[in-house]
Amino acid sequence: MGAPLVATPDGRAEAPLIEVSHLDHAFEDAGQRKPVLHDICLSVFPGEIVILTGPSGSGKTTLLTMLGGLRAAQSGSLRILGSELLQAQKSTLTALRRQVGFIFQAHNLLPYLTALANVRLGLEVQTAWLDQGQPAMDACALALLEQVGLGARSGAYPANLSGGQKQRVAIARALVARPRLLLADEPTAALDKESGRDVVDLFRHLADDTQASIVMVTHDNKILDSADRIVHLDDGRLVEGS
Amino acid sequence: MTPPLGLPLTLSRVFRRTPLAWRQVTHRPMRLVAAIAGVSFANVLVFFQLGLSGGLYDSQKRPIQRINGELVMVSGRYLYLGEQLNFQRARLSQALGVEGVRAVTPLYIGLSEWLNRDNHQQKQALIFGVTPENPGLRIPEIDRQPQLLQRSDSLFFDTRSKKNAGPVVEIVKQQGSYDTELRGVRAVVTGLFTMGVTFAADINLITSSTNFKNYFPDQHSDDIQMGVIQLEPGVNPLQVKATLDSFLDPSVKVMTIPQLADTEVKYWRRNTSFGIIFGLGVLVGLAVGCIIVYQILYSDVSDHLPEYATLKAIGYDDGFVVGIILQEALILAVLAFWPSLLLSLGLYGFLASSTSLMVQMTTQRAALVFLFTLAMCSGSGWLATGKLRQLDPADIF
Repeated sequence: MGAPLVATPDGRAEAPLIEVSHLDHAFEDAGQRKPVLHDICLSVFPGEIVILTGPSGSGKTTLLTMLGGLRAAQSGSLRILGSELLQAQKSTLTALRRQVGFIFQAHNLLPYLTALANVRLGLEVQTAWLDQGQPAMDACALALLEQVGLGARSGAYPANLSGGQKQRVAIARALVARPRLLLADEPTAALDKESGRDVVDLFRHLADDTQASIVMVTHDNKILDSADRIVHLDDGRLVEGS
Repeated sequence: MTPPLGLPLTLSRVFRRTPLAWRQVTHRPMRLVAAIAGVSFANVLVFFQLGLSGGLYDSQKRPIQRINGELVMVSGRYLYLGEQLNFQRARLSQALGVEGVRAVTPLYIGLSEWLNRDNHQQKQALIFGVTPENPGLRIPEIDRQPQLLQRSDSLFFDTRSKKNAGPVVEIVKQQGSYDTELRGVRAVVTGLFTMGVTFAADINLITSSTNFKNYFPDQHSDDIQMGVIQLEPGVNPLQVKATLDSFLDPSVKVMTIPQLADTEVKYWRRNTSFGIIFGLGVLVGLAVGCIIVYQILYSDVSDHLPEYATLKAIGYDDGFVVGIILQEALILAVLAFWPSLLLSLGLYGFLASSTSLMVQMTTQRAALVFLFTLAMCSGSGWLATGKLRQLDPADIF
């Protein structure tokens, strides 16, 4: 491995939504320091889709969780949507998470809520949406379910949905509050080829229409072409991909 | 949409949220029913213990509740009903001059040894002496048949006396009377009444004031143990008591009936250990409830850990997530209280009829148990959220 590469495309005027510089991260495991990320530098600009690849254990999930404010940074600098997360407080992290959309490998839908109510949870975390009242939130949540092709299943409970349908509800929950930053961990893993394609198209529209940034971890070769940029992580170091 | 007028903004936001706790507890109805049954069971245990201990102490008030007046005069050293503390009858007559007092009547009270004719054992008996023309105790059985007390050795016997008195009730019903001795003096039970015994004695007897003196020959003829003061209708007993207190000799004191009842219950609470025994029973009930609620909520947390982590990851704070479990705890507490109250009312009815204890549901006790169950549920709920507070949303990736 040579000197770290700074993954910054040229000719951009806007401020990046993600600005990582010289970020190191290590886990404490039974009293031992286990380094996972080394000297990461990465900027992601509005409207950009970045795909993060790398073998398992390369630290890509750790990086993704740090970008979403699920972990505070230990050293270096981590600026997400304008807030610095170096040694950040819990409240700073919680406030940031409200502006970020998450799609997890497991759908993690609440089993006792309908698809619509699960999507609405993504809105209820915002006081601005709460103040608009339930009918407005329901309308918005239903519109998102329609976009992922589940408008007719809005009243169904997760137990009565297929794996792919549950994943699409989870995607609708992540997108419903129009996040400026979307982070996704294998979003198409549970989907067939066609719905995987639909989801990627949806991401593209989100990036183009709202100038949101999207960072995706994926092994799915079929969707690599949707990325503006592919970055490769190897043993905790960033390598600019093809 | 604007929030309704007068409703604070934060509160109106609460009502716009999906009621997660409610949805979660009602999602699986059979599980909810089982949870309610468990918490209700704990509540009923608590009600049962409180009912028995309360009943035991409340039963001590029974003779006092029969007192035929609004105020009583007792010796200044009075502690409980049954201790023979004398004062002069002239002190009671002083009360007659006070405005609002309609009449006064003495109530003689003494403890003696009753002979069980069958096994020749002596048992403690509490004897009340009443004047037939204005009895100090309200006993309808005597009012109906006052002639039964005309003999110089006749007594009425409490049907709720302990069985070790002998087969008195059966024999009186068959043969009309039961002959025995009170501290060596001939005593004939000619009538029966129902009142209920206290800790002071195993047997209750009522006789006339004239007969009472036969059983306590050492007592001075001017001495009485309690004076019953009867007021004109609509007169405030506390006002008359204040007037009496202002001029009476300190060797006597005046109490209202509730004060006398209170003194009695306090005396027996101090001098018996039933309170501690039943208090431990209450603790056991609460512990059972805590374990049940903890089990239910802990398994809920464990089953849904990834979902709660997801809530944290999308921006809900720790308080919100912990709040869901605490709300579930409170929902269980509120839902389980009502069936347990209903069950306990039935149980109290059964206890009262089968033990002759005064087991009664009071608003105070119901409120106390409701507070207990709220505390029990929220305490266990808080313990069950331990895992949730530590939960790191980054772990679900």
